[in-house]
Amino acid sequence: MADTNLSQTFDAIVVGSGATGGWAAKRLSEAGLNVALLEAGRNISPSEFTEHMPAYKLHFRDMSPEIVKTRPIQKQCYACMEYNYDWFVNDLENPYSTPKDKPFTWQRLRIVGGRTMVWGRQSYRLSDLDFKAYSHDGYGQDWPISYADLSPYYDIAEDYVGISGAKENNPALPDGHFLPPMALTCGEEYMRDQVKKVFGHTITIGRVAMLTQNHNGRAACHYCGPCERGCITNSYFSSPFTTVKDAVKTGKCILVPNAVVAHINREKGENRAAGVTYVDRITHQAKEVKAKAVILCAQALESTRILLNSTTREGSAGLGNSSGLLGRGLMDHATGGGATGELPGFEERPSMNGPHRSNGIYVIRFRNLLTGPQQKRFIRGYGYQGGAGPQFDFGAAGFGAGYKQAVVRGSYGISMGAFGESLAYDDNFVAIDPNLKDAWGIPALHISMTHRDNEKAMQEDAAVAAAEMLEACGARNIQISSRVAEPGMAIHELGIARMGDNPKTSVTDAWCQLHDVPNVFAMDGACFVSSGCQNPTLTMMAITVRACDHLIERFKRNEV
Amino acid sequence: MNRRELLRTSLFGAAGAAAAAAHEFPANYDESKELARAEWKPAFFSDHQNQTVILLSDVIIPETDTPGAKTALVNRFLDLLLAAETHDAQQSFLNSLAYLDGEARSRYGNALIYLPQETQVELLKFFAYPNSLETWGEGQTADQAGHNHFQNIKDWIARVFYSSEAGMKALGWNGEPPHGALTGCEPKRA
Repeated sequence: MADTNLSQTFDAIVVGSGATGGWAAKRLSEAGLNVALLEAGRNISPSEFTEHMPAYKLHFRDMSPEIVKTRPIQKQCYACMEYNYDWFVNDLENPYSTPKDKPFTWQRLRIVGGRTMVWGRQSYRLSDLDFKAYSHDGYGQDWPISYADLSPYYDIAEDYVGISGAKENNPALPDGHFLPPMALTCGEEYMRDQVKKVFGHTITIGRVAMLTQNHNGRAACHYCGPCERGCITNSYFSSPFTTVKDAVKTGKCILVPNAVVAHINREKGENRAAGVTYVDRITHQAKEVKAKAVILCAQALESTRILLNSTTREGSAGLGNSSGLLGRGLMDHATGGGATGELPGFEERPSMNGPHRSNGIYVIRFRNLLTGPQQKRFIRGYGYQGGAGPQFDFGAAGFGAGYKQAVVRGSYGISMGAFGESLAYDDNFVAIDPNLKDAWGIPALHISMTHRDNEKAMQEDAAVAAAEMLEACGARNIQISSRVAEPGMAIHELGIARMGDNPKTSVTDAWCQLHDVPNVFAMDGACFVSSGCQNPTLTMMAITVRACDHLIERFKRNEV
Repeated sequence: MNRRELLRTSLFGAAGAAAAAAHEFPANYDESKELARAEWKPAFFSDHQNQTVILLSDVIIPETDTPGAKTALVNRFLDLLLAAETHDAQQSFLNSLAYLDGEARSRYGNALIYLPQETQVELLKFFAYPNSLETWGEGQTADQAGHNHFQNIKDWIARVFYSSEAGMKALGWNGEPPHGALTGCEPKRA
């Protein structure tokens, strides 16, 4: 921005422009507050979108062996492709360490919009089975908020974002304000009916941040398929073209790209933040920005890293860490349990021409509910994502004309993969690695996390249960998998600055404010107390809206 | 880290060369045209390997009512891709190629490309269907190693063919970006 004036004292600095940062900037600036929205990555332009570009036009047809040279970790993400890998961080410039025997895959973007550019878009509400899980089974802590507290904010987020889905009246997965659901395939309809009849479980179409009708100035999805390459019609929710755009439009919010925030600065002699110091990504110059409130929305690991790199009034490292819990209790959904097969009897052929529905089915959690039988081998539960439909059969046997025909004829696949709750273990943690800095000189994270027996038992159960459901549908060639994927692979990092009412057992209060510092907030996945098994982004957005509304009230009362 | 350290970093930082520009593909960007140029020469394959890849691609994915792998220049893209691949990936492909060619020499006394077409097909059938009636009926042991090498070559060729424009059209692509309305389960289950 040409007229960027960063020397003023802002009402709020928002760090990160993704799902939560976009909401914070929008909410606060629309309430009349002056906001500096700092983003570590560069700006993004719709001219970079490639969702309609066939792979053969690319130099390596999306099989580029080059990506791995700068993005050996990011390459493991399904969405990191020859088309868009530039949106993902350069792993050489953004190092972190792990213990040798505890690999962690940290998949992240540095660009305006962050991971909303490539996210899976699945959007689910948590329920009191999640918020009050401790009360149910005695593990961990309850959240300081209940479903009733968050429900109105889920409404606000959903009404704006546009979530398509079907109401199911299932207490484990509360219904929301939905746009019309996407259609199930024939195989999925059959699967839904069969699974209900035999097991009583509920299969619903994925609830997804994709528009099934025009909504808030954005066009309905045209079903081209590869959302993670951008969307020229903005039919899936990404923050740069929605929340961030709204925030900038108010004239109250300045978006500052290429601002790599290093740490929070303190008001001299006071227990208050004065603002942040960031390093310009291009020039490597350090700059300070002042504000009355600092809101971290950089995603759980980055936000916590910034807090750990900041010092308290007493000079100790780790702002907001009087409980000793900052950085502790890292969670990421356990995945890997599931089954695949072929569903005979469905004649539909695969199509290159669409519609390509980039959404699947969702099997609502059915283990360890409030009532009914409880599992002996694990607490909490899992949901599945999956689907059934025709696919090209590239693995067909043989060669020649017969092989070509078999590929086109295709097969009718059916699959289910579990997302299981990841428990908060205090010894799954992050800390600053004293020997490692990123390309901007900012101390890097050491991440130490493993999935444990509870997660493993749950994925084993999920594998068997999936195979049973596929069998009940008459599937053939059923392949079971129960190996738990390494932490980070679900890309749902949560916890490490958990919220709670008691400053001794939590880092933030119920409005994401640090117990220790009244004007610093962690409004992203960091504040999660438990992970549930649902994809968390919608809940993060709702929490951000709720926390911002509370902060706006405090500003009105001159309490900030 | 204090401000002084940050300033030092800002003075000595070298990674600042990273561009802030958008990552755009120019209009009409199409790298596949490069492969079709008249003076094309393999960068990775030897001439013999190149000829063998052309032959195998043509037998595995022949021209039918749609173009095949030879027309789609599968050998040329494979050459480009393998040249940039890891040593392991390169070696894996070349090993499989050498295995099939070696089997042709030991069974029929000549390299694959010099054999009559029926013999080429006969050899590939042997590896493609290790447990077919032919092998079972005569009490032969399935050649798992040969099957794996055949599969390896076939997988590369199929991947490259079906990512080409001709391959996409062989799958029924009409040349337009995919789109359409989700109509659900119609017609009902057969």
